[in-house]
Amino acid sequence: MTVLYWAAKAPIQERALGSSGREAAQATADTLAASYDEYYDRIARYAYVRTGNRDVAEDLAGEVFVRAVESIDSYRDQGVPLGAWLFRIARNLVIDHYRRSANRRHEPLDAAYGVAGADDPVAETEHALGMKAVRAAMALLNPAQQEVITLRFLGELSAEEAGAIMGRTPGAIRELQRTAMKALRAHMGAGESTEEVR
Amino acid sequence: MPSESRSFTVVLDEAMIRVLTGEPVASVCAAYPEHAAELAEALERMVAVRAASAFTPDPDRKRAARLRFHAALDARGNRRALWRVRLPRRLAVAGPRAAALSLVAVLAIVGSGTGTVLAAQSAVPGEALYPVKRSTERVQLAFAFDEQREADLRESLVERRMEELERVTAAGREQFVPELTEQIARHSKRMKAITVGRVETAVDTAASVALATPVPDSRPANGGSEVSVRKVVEVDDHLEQVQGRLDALREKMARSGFRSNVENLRTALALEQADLQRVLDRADQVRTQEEKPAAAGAQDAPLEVRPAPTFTPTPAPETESRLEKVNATVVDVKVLPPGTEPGVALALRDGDGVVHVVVLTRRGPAFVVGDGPASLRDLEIGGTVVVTVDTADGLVVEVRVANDARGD
Repeated sequence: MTVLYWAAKAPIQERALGSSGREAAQATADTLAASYDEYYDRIARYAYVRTGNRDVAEDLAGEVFVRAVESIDSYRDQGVPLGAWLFRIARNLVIDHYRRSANRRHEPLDAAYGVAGADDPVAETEHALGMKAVRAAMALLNPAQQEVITLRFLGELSAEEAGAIMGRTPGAIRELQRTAMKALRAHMGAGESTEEVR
Repeated sequence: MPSESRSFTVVLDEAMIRVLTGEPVASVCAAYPEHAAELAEALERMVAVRAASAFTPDPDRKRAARLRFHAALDARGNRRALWRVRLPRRLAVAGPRAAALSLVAVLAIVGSGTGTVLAAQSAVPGEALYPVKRSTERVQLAFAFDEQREADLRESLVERRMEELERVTAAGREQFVPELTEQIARHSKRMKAITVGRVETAVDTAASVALATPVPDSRPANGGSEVSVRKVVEVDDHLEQVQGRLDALREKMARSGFRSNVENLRTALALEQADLQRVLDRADQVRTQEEKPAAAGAQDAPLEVRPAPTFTPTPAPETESRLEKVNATVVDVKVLPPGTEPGVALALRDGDGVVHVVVLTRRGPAFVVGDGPASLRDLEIGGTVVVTVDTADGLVVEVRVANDARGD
């Protein structure tokens, strides 16, 4: 629980400093540097589900932090939690990725490419299949439902942070997530039964 | 029943957070008996989604991204410093202190080498000339465009702050301690990040260079990494020595009953050292790996390494494109370093004992590992592969692991 919420407090502490803009930006830079490990993995997983490509996901996670540094000065004015800010950047990069690759339909290469992946090829393949099922079920959700599931399950963001990204109240996020899980249940249930028939 | 529905919404959210923080689904469900069944179903679904999409990011790529991130942070710091020096008037609106600082910075540039700046070099916190000293340093840092120069500069700044720390504690002016320790921590951190980054790049390059370019005398071209490794050892020694001095200071302060963050700084430095140790270990590993193929080759005819693609198995009719299969032994496999295209470099020895390097990326040459689930990890050093070569141009078309080829 603390892990989920400490980031939400960061901007408040920063405001409490009441320091000059430069020092506040430096404080943000320090917080950012300290939270690299925590957020890199979460952002990579979020991006993986959104793009279906591990390589792209990892590139994107790295890029988020560089972009964050570039826009550190504008961050302070937005008053959003650090996690929400980083994931907002990630979300924009995912959208950019889709725009760029809109003309080039390609399947994720992950299953064929085992170099950077796990140690067990069989588990790797099973994982790829599971991922495919999840992505198929996710694709049947509406965009807002997809978003809330990825932000909360994979991004591990709080309802407040997800709300800051999606422009909704935390209550609306919780409600949305309930309906999304219900829909996911229907779709994934169907996917499982067909797989059993095989 | 809107109220019940809302309450389940809240319960689900709470339960979800508990599972995300590591609590088992069963124990979370037990905490909400009235919703247990519904909750269990939803939470299992969530766990399944997470499991299907969970992956551990590649540590090399993560590290490369971290370096890029820190480079961006550093660049940002430098940009700001330059801006401050070049446009002092714009900062004047930020307050008298900032204006004074920028004025001092300009003075430091204009008057560098003059008496004031020189006299300021021995100033300690609390003295009138101390801000001049610090401003001069900021200007130096802002103009240290070369990474190594910046690291060296930061190393000397650690030393300076350390001396100041010793002097102010001796003089009982301990109100300056927190700022000085913070400075030492900051400079050490950047100094380490740069040094580690450089040695990692050098080690990665050495690892792939040993394979990917011809090495005439068959000895690994790791001169670059040697230099960087020496630097890591130097930085490591320096941090060690600083920690010794911090121990002495801490004792003194404890005697005078002053509570400070010296302990924290010492811990921070120990952590930086751990990073240095890690990179040294890795450099050692790469070095021993590099020595292996050379040692193996020493017994046979001297290794001849040619850049890829150079397979020319038999003289072929010159105009016609023809594919030929060649058996080769895997001498070494290296994953290409981060920052380059993902792939591997293979060192292959053909029947004549000539070593060839083939770089496999997703673009090509095609790499086939058989029909079942398999990966490049199936390539074993000492194992055999079948290389398909287009004899018209000597290009490698395909590399296939031999056990798969035997099955044909």
